Amino acid sequence: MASMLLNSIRSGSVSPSWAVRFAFFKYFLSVQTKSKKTLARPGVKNVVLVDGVRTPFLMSGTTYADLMPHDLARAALQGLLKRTGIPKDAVDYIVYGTVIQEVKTSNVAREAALGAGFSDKIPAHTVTMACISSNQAMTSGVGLIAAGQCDAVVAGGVEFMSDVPIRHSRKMRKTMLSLNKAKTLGQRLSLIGSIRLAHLSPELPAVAEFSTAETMGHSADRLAAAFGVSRAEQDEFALRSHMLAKKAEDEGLLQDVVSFKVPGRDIVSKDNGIRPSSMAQMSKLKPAFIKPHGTVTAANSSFLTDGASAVLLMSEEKALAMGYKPKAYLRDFVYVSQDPKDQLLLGPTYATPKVLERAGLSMSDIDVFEFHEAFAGQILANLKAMDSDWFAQTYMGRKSKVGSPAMEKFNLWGGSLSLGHPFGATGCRLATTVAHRLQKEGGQYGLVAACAAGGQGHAMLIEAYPQ
Amino acid sequence: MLLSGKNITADKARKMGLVDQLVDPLGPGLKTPQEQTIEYLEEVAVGVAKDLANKKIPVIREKSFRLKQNDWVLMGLGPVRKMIYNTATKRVQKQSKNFYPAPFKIIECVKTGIEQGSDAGYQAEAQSFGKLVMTSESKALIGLYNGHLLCKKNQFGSPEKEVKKLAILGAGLMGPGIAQVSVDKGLTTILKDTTEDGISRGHENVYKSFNTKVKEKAMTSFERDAIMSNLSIQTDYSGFESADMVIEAVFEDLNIKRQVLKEVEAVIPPHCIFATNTSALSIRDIAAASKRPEKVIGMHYFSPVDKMQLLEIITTDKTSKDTLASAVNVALKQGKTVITVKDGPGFYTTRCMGCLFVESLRLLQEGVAVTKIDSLARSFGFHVGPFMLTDEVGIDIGLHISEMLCKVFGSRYEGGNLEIVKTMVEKGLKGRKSGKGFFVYGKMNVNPEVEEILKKYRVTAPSSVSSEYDMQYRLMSRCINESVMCLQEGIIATPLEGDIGAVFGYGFPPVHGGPFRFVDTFGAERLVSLMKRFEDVYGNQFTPCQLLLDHVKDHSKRFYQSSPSLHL
Repeated sequence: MASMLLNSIRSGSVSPSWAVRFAFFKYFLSVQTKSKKTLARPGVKNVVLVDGVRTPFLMSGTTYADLMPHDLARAALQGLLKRTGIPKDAVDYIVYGTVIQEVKTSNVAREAALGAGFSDKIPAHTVTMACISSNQAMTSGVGLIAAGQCDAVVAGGVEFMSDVPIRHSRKMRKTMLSLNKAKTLGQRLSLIGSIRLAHLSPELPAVAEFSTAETMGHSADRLAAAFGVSRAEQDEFALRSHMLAKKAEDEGLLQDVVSFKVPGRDIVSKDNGIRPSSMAQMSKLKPAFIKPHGTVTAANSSFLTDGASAVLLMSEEKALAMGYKPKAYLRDFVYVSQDPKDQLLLGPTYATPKVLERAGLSMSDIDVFEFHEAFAGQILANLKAMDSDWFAQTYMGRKSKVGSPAMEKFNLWGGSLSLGHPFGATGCRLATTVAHRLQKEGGQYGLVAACAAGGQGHAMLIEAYPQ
Repeated sequence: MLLSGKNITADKARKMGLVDQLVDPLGPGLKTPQEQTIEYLEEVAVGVAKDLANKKIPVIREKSFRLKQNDWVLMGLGPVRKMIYNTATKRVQKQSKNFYPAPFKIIECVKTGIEQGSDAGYQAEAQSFGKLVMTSESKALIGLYNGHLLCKKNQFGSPEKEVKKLAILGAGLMGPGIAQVSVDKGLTTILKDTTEDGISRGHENVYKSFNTKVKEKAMTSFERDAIMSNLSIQTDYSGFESADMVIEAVFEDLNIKRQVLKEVEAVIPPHCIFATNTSALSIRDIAAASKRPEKVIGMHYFSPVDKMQLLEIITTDKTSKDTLASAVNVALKQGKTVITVKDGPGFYTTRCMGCLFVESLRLLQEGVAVTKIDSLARSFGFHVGPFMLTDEVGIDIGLHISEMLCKVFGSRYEGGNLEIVKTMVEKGLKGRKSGKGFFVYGKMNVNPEVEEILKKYRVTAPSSVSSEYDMQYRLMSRCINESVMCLQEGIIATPLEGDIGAVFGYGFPPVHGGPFRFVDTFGAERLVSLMKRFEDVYGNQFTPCQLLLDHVKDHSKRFYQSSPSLHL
């Protein structure tokens, strides 16, 4: 297990201040209380999240090991159908996000939809944007609805790390392709004869940033060091994530999880990466990326995960016309991007103030934060960055810091560190969790934020649907 | 490592076992990346030191088998050690040709240390260091270092408008080189030529240079691609309307250059500077075709542009101050060491180098072998001899320049018969680029065809000035005299720029610090008396210039007032 965890990597999210919390009242001092305004805007269609589901997230190489990506995606789609009871032909469009593509099912959205029993008349496409792929799937859906092109869209994401495409070497591929074109036996034999031992070494998909050749864990470790995040702080945050996830699971709060009968195996109905440990145990681990003085370990990183998620999005009128009681409105969202080397995982820091500004909100207005936890060090670095006037002024061109979120509102049902992080599927989990938490906790505004490979980031505001 | 004084990168040092642990540079955090990285380094280092002190980290100093073997040999027999010292000494002799005393002293110090114990070794090191610092070689090199730093600064202030967009005309030998050193400094660069073939080849050359760095892992493929995205190749003048500077590197022909200047001036904005890359054509003559001569300047790049550090910037009396400041600014951005010279035939470096060449040619005519002449220059400290240098530059270009300079300066500048070179060019012997010149490339032999051509032009060597020493000083005194004359005429402004130009432009031996420092060290009087002897035989080609004579008359006169001190 440990060796598998060592490989864990990727993704992004953000969050707030850890200990010190200076609320950032710039505007809307009056909006502090429960009398919050709605974020609806004249002339912009209200888009609602009717419901959202996910398969249990499993560590790669466990119960899902023999499946294919579209099997997982199909399970999420079927779960959504069952949960919402929507007629299979009432959906106008399907969008899925994924990161590492199985070459046989590169448009995994379509393959999964066909198998899930959706009408074959529903178009489907797949998007990819690293760890915010399913966020991108959702916002694509929001765009389609807002533009009046569709009334009901299913968005989702899937990642399957138990099997990734491992290729022959480029030399071997070249030889094999030439072999296809060889006309005579002599040509074929000479091509076969040209194969050397070196041709046989395979190419593994790299968990590294293509543009910089740096692995994400290495970058996270440097980021943590740059913001002075200690090993103990990271371990503590990871422990918090596991404990909160365990608590949420025990209390039955993770309602988005749908059971999945895996062919040839038992029914899976729980995530298997939630393992609250102890500080003593966690501190024993050696650094996974920067040796020997690094601070990022297998235990304070998210692990390689198999899983899929799906949400049903509709225009408000359509949802009401079909008799649904939506869970939340999807409101403003932004995408950001920055230097993929030194600021690879700072997406949330850049995205949060931008999306708040768009909606005219401040940090203290937000009731529920769901940030993607790629690495504990990355989350804590983002919290510190958001709480730094110097960083805001020097690197973001802003007048002052946005402030960091209150920890008592932050990732209260666990996060990617504990629940798992199927790259392409995490975004929908975050959005659904915000909707569920707003309902449960009685808040009005929720904020999703995430970082992603390529130095990109995303944030979205979600508003509770009036009860 | 000891003998060459090479810099070793951090990664390499770790692999060699010189250091145990490295930290990665950090990005921005709550402070600047630099501050953050230093603090991080300190924190990690303190942590390691503490762990070492508590014995949490064991110190492993296992020597590899090879090192152990070396130790055994070194500790072993006297004769074996002696052999090692001798081998090292011989290798140094071969590589440094005895010009630099330091490596020998280093070997001596190591020897003392091993044979008589480290105390004696350190003592010897301290003493030798003191002696070495006072040598003329040391002064020459420190002088060059200081001069080099000075030529890396813009002494003409900041330009009114910084050049951000550059257009280069001509994708032949120089154009792509200039593009190469520009695009990686973030200058948006257009490379224009008249043919698709030309620009395609130019683009390929630039690409290759960066791709080599990718292969050597000195740069990522993304950095390469991002750099290449600054380069646009085209056959028309589109985009010139927003160019801040145009550097033309078309064929060295006055009429073509003028024609190009007129064409370009029709499309560029008023603030745009027109720089012409030429090794000898008069900038004044080119600028005569311009509607705005104050915006015209010369930029003499050396080939290969990415390897040669020097850039000679040439101004006319009409060139404006801001144009000069802007050109220097661009050149420094391109990583060049800049000397600023006045317009005049052959400017500075070409004029001095030409002198060396025509005199070499005369020696050739007098029956001295090509290799002998090159080795005379090399034993003076040149890295390559005049013939090999001419082969590099291109014999046709060398001929073109020599003819022009001989025409301008008259008999004073002449030397060997240029008909020899003309015949060579006619026969297609154009130097390295055509595979044959004074040497045959691939085999690195002397080209026998040259011998054949020479038969017709052979002359008898006057015995009074044909000793090896005399021959060597015939070569050197002429180019040194020419340098001093350039200072006298105001072509160059300072001896320092003259020294930098000579060393970095045509390979004047760094061990002498450049022609001006050489005169100071060697003595103007000694040089002039040598020249007078040569003058008796050959006439005005060896007449010392007035400034040299002034230095003879007044012994207190020096090109450099004091010994250089090292500013680090």
